Amino acid sequence: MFRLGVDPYELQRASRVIHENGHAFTIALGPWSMPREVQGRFDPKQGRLILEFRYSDDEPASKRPYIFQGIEITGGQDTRKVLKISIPVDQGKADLSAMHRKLVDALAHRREIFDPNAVTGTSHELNHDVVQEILDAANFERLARELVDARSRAGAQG
Amino acid sequence: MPRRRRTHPNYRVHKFLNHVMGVSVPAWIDPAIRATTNALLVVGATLLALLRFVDPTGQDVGPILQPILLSLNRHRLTIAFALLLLDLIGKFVLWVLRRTRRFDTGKMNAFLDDLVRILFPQPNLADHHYRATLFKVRHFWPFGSWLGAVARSGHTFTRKATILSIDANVMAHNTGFAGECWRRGEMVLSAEALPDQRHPDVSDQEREEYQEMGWMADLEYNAMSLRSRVFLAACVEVDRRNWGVLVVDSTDEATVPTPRTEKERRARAILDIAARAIAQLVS
Repeated sequence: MFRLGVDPYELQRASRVIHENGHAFTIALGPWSMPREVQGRFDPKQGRLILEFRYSDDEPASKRPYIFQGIEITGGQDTRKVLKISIPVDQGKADLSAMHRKLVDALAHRREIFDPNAVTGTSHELNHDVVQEILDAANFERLARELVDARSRAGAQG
Repeated sequence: MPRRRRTHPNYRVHKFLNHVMGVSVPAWIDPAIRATTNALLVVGATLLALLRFVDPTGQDVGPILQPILLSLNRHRLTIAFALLLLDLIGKFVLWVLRRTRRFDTGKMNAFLDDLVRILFPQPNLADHHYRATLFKVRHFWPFGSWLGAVARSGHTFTRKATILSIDANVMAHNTGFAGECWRRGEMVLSAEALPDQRHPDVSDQEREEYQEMGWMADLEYNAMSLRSRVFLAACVEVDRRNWGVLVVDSTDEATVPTPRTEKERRARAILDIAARAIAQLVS
């Protein structure tokens, strides 16, 4: 398992300036929707790379994950903040850049389904943006280290 | 997109209910009830036990005590039930008190004082006010929900009569920075100062602009004792529910947390810690 700490105040997309009717105000992710840590692990039984986001609270996961091209994004039961991302891994050599592209597509697709006119609980949008920012190519590679190691071991044995 | 003017339905009802719900119970009530019920139980049980095993007839205890003891002996079962009932009532009252007053207001005010001092390290106290307020979500069917002030920092403008509207279904019924913060579930910070309302000849346009920028309803604006220009609001969550909103406000334009600056990051970091600490204190 690889653990990646998150510095909430270094994230560019954790806050956003909104202009309404010529006036500006800032919205920022609150303490309960800001990921504190991301854990990456490879589950060889399921053949999936699992990325888990840790928060200050212990919100249960939604029972219906969002699925796009085999990638499962599980949100929180109440807030829809991203709790877990499960990515299928092809047999053979793991192509991390292809997996990352698929992940970026899945996240971009999920972003489109949010209702911009929702009255309450819009914090999951900022949370989603922050997750996208955290999961850049470099961090993704680090989080997938266990998968790469497992594949290298399998290659050496085979 | 132009904002729709925010309104506060049932404002006067909320104001009255908030006043009733906000009546503070003296701190000595809790131990007093506990001590009284316990003492009654111990003394009563001892007395009843004595009466159960001592035959009152033929006892030479004097003309005054004799009839009292006889009466106690005759009604001892009723007295035992009455004592138990009293104990249960006492415990129920304590339970209600603990539910309604789940934190020490004095300690909370002191915490808010510290928060203001940390957030504004170089205040211009001669010309400006700096304040932190803790709002609690309140409901009363069928009059909906609102945010009522329960703790406030400082020694001036500490009246806790401020109420703001919240509504999960109608966007226009979420008022103030606190209401907007509750609605979104995110921190909401001023990116520019609201128009100054402290000079005597405030124009209608300035007033409208102030209300619009602050998501303020007419009645709320009129009731404001201090019209701050900078607001920072953060939600306080307890058990994954929005318990309330923490608002820090100031009349000092220089305290605007300009977006994408160290000042904004610092303000967010302090609010983040303060909101979490408050969540611990009130849960």
